[in-house]
Amino acid sequence: MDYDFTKQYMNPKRTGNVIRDLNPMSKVNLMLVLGLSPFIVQNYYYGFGMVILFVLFSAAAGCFRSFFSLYWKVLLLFGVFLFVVKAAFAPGEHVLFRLWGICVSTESIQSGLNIVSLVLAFSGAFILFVKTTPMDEFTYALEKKGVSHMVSFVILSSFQTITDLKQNAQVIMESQKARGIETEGNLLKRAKAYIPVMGPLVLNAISSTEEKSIAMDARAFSAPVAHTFLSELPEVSIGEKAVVILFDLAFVGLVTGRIVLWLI
Amino acid sequence: MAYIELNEVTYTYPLMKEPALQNISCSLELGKFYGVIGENAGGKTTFCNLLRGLIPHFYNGKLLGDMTINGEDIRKIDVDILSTKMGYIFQNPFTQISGVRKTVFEEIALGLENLGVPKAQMIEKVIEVAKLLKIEELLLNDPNRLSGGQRQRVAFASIIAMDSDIFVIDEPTSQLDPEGTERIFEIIHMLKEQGKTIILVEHKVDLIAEYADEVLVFQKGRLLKKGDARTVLSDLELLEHGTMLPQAVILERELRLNGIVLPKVPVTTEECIDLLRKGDVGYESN
Repeated sequence: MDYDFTKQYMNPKRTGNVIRDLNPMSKVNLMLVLGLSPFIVQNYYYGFGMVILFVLFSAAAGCFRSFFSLYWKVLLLFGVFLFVVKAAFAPGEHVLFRLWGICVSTESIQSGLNIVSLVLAFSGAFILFVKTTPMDEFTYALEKKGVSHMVSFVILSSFQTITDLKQNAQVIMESQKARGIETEGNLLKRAKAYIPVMGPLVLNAISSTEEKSIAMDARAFSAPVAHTFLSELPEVSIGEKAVVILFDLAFVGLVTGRIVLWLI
Repeated sequence: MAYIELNEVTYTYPLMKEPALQNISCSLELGKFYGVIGENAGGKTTFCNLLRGLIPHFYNGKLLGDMTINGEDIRKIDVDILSTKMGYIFQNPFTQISGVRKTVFEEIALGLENLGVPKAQMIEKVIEVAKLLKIEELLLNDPNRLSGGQRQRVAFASIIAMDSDIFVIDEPTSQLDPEGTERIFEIIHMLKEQGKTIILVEHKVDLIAEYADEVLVFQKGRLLKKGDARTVLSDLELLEHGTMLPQAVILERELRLNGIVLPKVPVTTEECIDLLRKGDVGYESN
């Protein structure tokens, strides 16, 4: 067997993509600044602008497909729902039409667009972060910042649990299918198939958590020595630090501006 | 000299009325292979948890009696340090993978990272263990997508890489097919050859007969028998207690009942074949 692949561990991890290669802590910082800025600006043009920006960033990071495959679900599930609720029930003076208890006005539509832009902007920033940052890199960066090994592992395994639950659910559903239970079709049929498996799924996850923690103990997880790392991330460059600081300053400027406007 | 000593140890799990282990007294020495057998719910896994320090440090419960590991009281022992000396492999191959590493290579290295092993040494060690366990072809695979047998071998590799001297192995083949079982026993055999101390819980008594120096038999939380593997495994009384005996022992009994007497009770298939081949067989009229 060729062991050339082990050379990758001798150097800090790089993908060659500027966005992906940002330090996870820089990404967290940028995610918070960009994702929260629409809440300060309170303008849905700005919020939707951010949404477009995140889509462009995902394309630049080479993860447009995986980003958008999740993002459109958020868009459909939360975006449309929130917009409809807000547009239908938020108060407004310029009424466009009324039907039973529903009253759609220019103001309610704007309010709907506003809240949708906020939710989409923040969820876009979060999904982009998740899609461009492997969780092991994130926890590595956290540990380097002094976060305990235990906390970083909890974060890492929590994300893994989501994948495990999905896989286990698939296995159970396939078993159900093999028993002749209908698992596909309309929403009601799917719900009927899914609800009974939720209990075993969760119980299974709880029992495997105990075994997993024993397995981690067997791997000297809490050994009282300074841990080493097989994969390491590069040091944060001055340029990267400067970009993050610039965004932070812009965010502080926005917050200050909002406070000043509020006081006036 | 005894490395692990138990004196009248009784343990009850939290919220349970009946103890899982009752009045266990025994001692285990370094460099020996101990086979642990017995009926289901007999206390074998609890015994392993005790040896590994998970009782009383992970499972609280009620622990009575005295137990020492290398002269240190189990109640005072630092389990984090113990984990660096005693490897533990258990039955479920699906929960022994950390799930947080992308390749088998990284999975095996996880324990070494926790031990603070320098990177170059870590890489060398993982390669060495992968070669030893013949899992090189798996190194770049996703550990979460391996079969049960492959996962179990990776779990072994991860623990072996940590260079423990003592291995507590709890039914490693219970969820594996015959081929997977064979591969796991190849690894266990290799560990024995290296002079490691092995405490193996296993229902496949024929394999225990082949490898173990001593056997411990558990029943309803009590240590029914402990002693030299040949003596214990040829004791037909164990059948009355629901404990399986090696096929060779059963065959010898059947032959004897039919008037064919072997010069001694064989405990392994090879031994049985050898005796029959030599033709050193006596005949008794019924």
